[in-house]
Amino acid sequence: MSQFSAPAGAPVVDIDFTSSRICNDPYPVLREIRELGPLVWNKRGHWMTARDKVCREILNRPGPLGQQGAMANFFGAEAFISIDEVARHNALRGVWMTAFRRDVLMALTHVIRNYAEDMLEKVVARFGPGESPDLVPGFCRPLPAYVIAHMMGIPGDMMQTVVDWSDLMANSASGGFPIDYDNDPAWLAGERAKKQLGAYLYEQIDYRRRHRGEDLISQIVHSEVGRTLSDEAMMVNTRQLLFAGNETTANWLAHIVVVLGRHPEVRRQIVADPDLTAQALDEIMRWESVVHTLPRGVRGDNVVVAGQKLEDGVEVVMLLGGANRDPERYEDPERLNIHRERKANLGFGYALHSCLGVTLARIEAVEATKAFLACFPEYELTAPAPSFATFPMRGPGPIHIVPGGK
Amino acid sequence: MSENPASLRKKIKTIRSNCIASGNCILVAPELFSHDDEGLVVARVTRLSAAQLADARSAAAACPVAAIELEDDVETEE
Repeated sequence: MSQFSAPAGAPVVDIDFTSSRICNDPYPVLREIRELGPLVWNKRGHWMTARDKVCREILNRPGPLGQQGAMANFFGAEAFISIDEVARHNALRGVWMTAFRRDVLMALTHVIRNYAEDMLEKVVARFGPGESPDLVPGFCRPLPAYVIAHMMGIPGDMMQTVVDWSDLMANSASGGFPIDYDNDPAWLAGERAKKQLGAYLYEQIDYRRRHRGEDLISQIVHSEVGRTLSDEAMMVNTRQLLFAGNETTANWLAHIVVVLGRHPEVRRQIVADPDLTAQALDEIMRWESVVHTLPRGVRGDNVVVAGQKLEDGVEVVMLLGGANRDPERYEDPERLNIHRERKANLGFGYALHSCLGVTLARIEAVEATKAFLACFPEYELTAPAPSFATFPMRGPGPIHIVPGGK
Repeated sequence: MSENPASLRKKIKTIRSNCIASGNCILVAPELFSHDDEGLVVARVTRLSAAQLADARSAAAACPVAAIELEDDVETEE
């Protein structure tokens, strides 16, 4: 419980985002919060907003509304995802700006497609009478992990180990809230994996110092800013790069498979006209957000958001799934409409900490979806319906399908 | 703009509805791009000189969401 309480006059609610009811269908609650006001106080001790405009206002001010300690604890204080000081952040992030450009990434399209097809081939082989493999561990989760490991130049024989460490890290908050940091087995396994991955990356950094390649690790080691960095700073930035895109993209792919399973009319349009894929996947991200909560902490005594003065140190949680269905920005926002007017939603963030890997994630999602629909142009989800384990990073699983369907 | 042959004349087009305010364009070409109060991209110049063309191309390539395009500048001036 935080030390803060709501000032008089603010709308107040009491919402437990760990409840499975909200996790499985958060949209009625998000709508309620959005309609109550631009900023709503949760009795659990923090502000919330579910409005698009207010989220943008907050994300645009990384100084007074910054990343919190939890980010630095997880990724490391020197990882650029944790840094709000603009020049420092941009110097570190800039190391990989070229690598994540569309024209550079396009050269990887066939690599991504090959990984997707290999994984799907193994998935397809496991279908049988009464047998239907879970598509999350078989396809959605490994794809982005293999691609980023490939880009980092991780040798083939270490690839699966690195992907396993990344999975264990992603899984570290799955044991329920609040986390029991001393005893929760998922948390402890995640921390162990993080250490092992760190130790491995130190070796890789050292190796690239002597054997320069084209990969992402070589790029930071031999960059101008890299030469001024400690090994630890290089390791945390590299580890963040490896990890940050995996769970997010994996959950996006899982949403795509589920949404296309439940909306055959959308799926058939994409199958008939694959050029619609990219815009359809963007719409799926708007409609079924992956990152649902983006917290920021207030720094200083004179911070005002949406006309409300906020106390120094208080937390503001942006509810992106609500903002992405804000009728002020989107017409008929509760409806999945792949033909709607194109507008950037908040799924990849906004401003300083907007996603470095947005273009990579989009290429992965498009290639994965095309490969998937080539295998399964028609399919239905089988009961029971996939459930949602966590709200902050929300994705469906397990996912089982029947190919062919009706 | 006499130094720029008519066939190469380009102007900057920004597609602000795509913009996620990553700031990449401003890092790459601060003389050509800025942002408004909301953080959205604003072109500081539209019609490019030959000297600006390479920077404008780099900025367009660096934009993660294809919010910057270079179009043929059809209105020529002497």
